[in-house]
Amino acid sequence: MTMSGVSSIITGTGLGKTYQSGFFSHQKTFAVQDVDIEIKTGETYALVGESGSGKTTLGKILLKLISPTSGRIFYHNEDITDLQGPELIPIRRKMQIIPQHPEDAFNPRWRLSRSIMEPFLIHGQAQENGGLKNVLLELLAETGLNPDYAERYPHQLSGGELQRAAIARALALKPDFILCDEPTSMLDVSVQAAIIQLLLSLQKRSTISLLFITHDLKLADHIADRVGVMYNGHIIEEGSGILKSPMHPYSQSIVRGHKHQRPDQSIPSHESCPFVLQCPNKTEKCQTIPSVTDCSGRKIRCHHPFKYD
Amino acid sequence: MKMNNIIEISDLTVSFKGEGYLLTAVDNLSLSVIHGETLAIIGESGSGKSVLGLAILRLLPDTAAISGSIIFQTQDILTLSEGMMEKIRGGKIAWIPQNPKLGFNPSMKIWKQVSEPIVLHTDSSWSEAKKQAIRLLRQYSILPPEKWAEEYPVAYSGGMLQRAMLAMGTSTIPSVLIADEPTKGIDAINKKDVIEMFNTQKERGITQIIITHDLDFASEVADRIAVMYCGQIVELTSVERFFTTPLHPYSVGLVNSLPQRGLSPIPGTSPSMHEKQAGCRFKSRCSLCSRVCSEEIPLFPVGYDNVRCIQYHNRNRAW
Repeated sequence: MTMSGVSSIITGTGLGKTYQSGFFSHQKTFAVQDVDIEIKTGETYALVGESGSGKTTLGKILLKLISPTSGRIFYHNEDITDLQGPELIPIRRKMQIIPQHPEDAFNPRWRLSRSIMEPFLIHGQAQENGGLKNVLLELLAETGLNPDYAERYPHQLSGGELQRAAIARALALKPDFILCDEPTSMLDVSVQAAIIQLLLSLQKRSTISLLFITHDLKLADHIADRVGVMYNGHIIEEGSGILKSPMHPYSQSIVRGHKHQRPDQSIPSHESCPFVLQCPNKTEKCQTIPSVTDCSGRKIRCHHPFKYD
Repeated sequence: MKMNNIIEISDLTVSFKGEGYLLTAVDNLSLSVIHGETLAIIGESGSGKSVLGLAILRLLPDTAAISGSIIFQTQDILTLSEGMMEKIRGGKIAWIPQNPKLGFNPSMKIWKQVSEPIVLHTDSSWSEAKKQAIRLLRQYSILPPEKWAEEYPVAYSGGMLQRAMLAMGTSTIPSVLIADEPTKGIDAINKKDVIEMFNTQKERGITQIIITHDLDFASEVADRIAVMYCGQIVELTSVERFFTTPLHPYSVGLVNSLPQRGLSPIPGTSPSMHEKQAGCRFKSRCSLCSRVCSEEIPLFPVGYDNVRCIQYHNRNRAW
């Protein structure tokens, strides 16, 4: 499970997730479809796509917060797809999440010190980290928070400060993989820059792999080693430099700001290309689903990608 | 009042009194809005943008102490009776709230909510207003409008609700539209729709005041940008000059925080609004701060722009 000599931390193969709703209608939503993804040790991988494209579902599948309908998940080459309950606890320590809305991620009746230190209590590490107070102060310092904030309640902090506290909590157990689910979409532009710089500097210091979910392609392009563009549950393009030279017609449409309609997620795209109805490059061949191919250092799911010299 | 201004705000101060403190959300602010323009008010959370918008509509709670004047056309909004204000609010000045989900009544069909301002502010009957509401829904790409008009807000996606909110806000063809963070939580695809809608309204001649911290969005729709920091306007400039040659160090910091400009954050955090500020509000975070920055400074003209920074006194863009 290695690529280019760098070991992978988490890998998903053939991942799919179908939701079913309605007591009688059994309406299906194909949230993630046939996705292969590999995140390497120490890399920042950004998943980009519009709302409903399956980014968060895919991230949560990799974290084992949602069970996939199909496919396998490997963490450090170990198949974790079928692990349940207590078997997952050692892995949960190593995989953390930073939420989109930090204000919803903290118990409003707990002081921050209790929320940030909760992972130690859950994972039974309270004894081995005897000086919990010191650990808390270290975490606050690492995330740029004033030590006095430990005794504050969530409502006494701004959005940016609360997001720093969420990062401190995610770092508490020294994870090696963090899912950042649109961590800055609700923050001001200057606070957004500060939070992202904080995440990147922490990553450099302790070789954490980041899966960064965002709908901001400019941001993804700036911070990530590789970007995966999601559309209708598929990763349709993956690689670096997508903002500069988008190869998939869908990637190009979002870079160029062209309008397009949202896909119908109740129809599985097993047979035709998911973007066929709106694609400027479509031909008869596009009635068959393209496989993922390597093209100029990118992985593309398209019969007729744009080419650049 | 100048002929081409639709709103003139002079020395507006809004403060809230708490236990042992006085929070000044808008601090002695003066601003003119030109007829037909789209003015973006940008700044970080807590800088007083939304309070300013709510003050124009006189929607602030009774606990707010307001002084100064807000002249709309020829009347001072702050001195009007509540009855007069009700005619202006929703009729001549429309408000698009931050969260469209909270802006709609969940137990009322969409057509009725879009029609309500028409019935309240014109002589139309409910059946005439319904026809107009359906026309508006079609105009804002809620298709087919006859079907969606009969739905409740819960059936709408976030982007559709935002469009329905704009249809409702513009149903009486207001002179001024104030929108509070219209792109918050909206993805890139829906954002394009919202940009298109605001540009359509601009073409319809509606003056728009857009309160936002989304610089990309402001760059797409605004003619002028007012930068707010700690309740004050620190720069008033054209959208082109804001992104190419911002003047105030805070504006420079905002532009440099964009991913395409290197994602460099502004050091420090804004001062607590609970404490009385003296001199430049930005001085604790400014690399160019000097002794003179402790003195109070007004917003003054520099070339075509206005800026509140002592560095520009006797200087002309020589940064």
